[in-house]
Amino acid sequence: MIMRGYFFGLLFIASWLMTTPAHAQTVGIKNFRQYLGSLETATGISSFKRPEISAFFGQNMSRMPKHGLASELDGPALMTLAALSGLFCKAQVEEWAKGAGSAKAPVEFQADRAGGRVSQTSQAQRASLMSFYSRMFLDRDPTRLEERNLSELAQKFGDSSNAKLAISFCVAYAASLEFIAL
Amino acid sequence: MFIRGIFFFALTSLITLPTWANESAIPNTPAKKLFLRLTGTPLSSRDSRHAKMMALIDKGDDFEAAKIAMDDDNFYRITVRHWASLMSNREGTPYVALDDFQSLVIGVVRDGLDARLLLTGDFTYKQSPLLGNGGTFDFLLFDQRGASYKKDLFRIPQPPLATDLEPAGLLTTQAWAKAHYSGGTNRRAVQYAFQEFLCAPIDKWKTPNLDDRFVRRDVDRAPGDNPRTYQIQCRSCHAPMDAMAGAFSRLNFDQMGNQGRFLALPTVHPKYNQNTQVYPEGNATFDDAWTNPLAENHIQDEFFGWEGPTQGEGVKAFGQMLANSGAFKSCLVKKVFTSLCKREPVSRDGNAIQSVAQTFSENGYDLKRVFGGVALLPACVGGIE
Repeated sequence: MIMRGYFFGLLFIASWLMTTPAHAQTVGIKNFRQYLGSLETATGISSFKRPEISAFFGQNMSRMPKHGLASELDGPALMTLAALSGLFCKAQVEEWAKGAGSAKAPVEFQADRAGGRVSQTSQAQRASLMSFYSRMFLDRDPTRLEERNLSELAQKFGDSSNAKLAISFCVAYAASLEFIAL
Repeated sequence: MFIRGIFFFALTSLITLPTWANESAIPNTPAKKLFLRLTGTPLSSRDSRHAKMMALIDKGDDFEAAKIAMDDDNFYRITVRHWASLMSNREGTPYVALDDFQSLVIGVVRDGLDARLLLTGDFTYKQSPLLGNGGTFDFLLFDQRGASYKKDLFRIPQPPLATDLEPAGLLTTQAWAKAHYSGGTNRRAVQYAFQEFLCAPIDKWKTPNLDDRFVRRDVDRAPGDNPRTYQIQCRSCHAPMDAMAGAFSRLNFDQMGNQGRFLALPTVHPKYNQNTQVYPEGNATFDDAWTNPLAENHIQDEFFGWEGPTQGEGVKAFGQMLANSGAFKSCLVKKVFTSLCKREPVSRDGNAIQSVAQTFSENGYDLKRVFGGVALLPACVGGIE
């Protein structure tokens, strides 16, 4: 099941790269340094202050795009970019849960810290999370299609805490081709 | 466990994300595109620099807008560092720690210095003492402490090599020495200097039938008992390379494990006169004099565009010859183009490359002119409009 999703994903990416008008010029993507820097800029999390991020980046940088050529965006590279973005997303949520910069947080995370669970993330909270991450990574509002797709994905997660949902939405945008592209 | 979860979500979301990208109206303003290309990071439309850049672009002052992007720490930390790292080692890999080669390039770009100083300068850059008590070339703590590439690098004189041997910018950095003066015969230094700073790999300038009077004694004139092999193959590279390698004859890097020591000797290093029995009639090296037979024989004059002396003594004079050539400025522009535009320039980019190279030399060889100029080219990922 996972492998099927994986191959479908790669198929979509390939077709997107082939059909986007920009391809006529050259599709550039971020190299490993640009992607790290972009995540830092977008999330406000400094990798050097988070040992788990520095360690992951140090150990996996050679799996990420070396120069930022479209041809370097293969399966392992995509997975590594997604994993790195996940660490940033998690770190940001943890910061909010601790209260740091929580004024900027799109939803309440304190409940998670106390071990409590926000029963079912409300529709409004989902919308707020989507909008927040869409602006954070892509500097625009989510499209209707994104709202629909992310809602569907959220439903698959079922009863989920705000933190889990936030990290998921965050990764969806951070590992999107729109954010990876240059 | 967490990483596995992220993988799963990413796999699922990646299926739908490409579709989103096509459907969304992406408000990619020229300012955002320019900023992204120069720093590798996004610029929010809520950032005050966005409005400033847009105002400048609207006025037609594109380069001033580019300067705002080039004032961002990420321009140095990401873009210039990545560009420099590829030249700093033999393998051409960017997966290397910050070193004195990269910091010198970053410093020269940041300070708007004449790029020819990259091969002739008598200075280097070291990290701020506030970051730790490491030696001059210790940058290990630089990234770990989140240092600023814009603020935490300081220009200092290059430590003297020897009383009568002047530093030559990148050619006398520890990183370059480690890559090219370690072991071997130092011929590699000529090969890589041409490759990295003139964009001329050895295949481009190897020349049959050049006068081989400078070919050293360690080169067999009849490998496999066949003199034709030497005449047809070996001589083409050795004649020009050995004639110029004298420039590095007093330099060596003693490799000791992962560490090492860059040394300048008062006389020629013994590796220049080793294996003399191979061909005792070959050239013996007595000093650091060198000559450029390619210039003497007008080999690819148009490509190299030599200006100034093409023979001399020592590494600094050699650096001056490279830095004053037309190929040097074109090469830097080509390398920036490849880095920013994510492709090698092709023949139809020739005029654009030439135009940026011209602006570069007319503006005191300020590399910001190259980065800004290239980022604004319509041929570079569709320009910024």
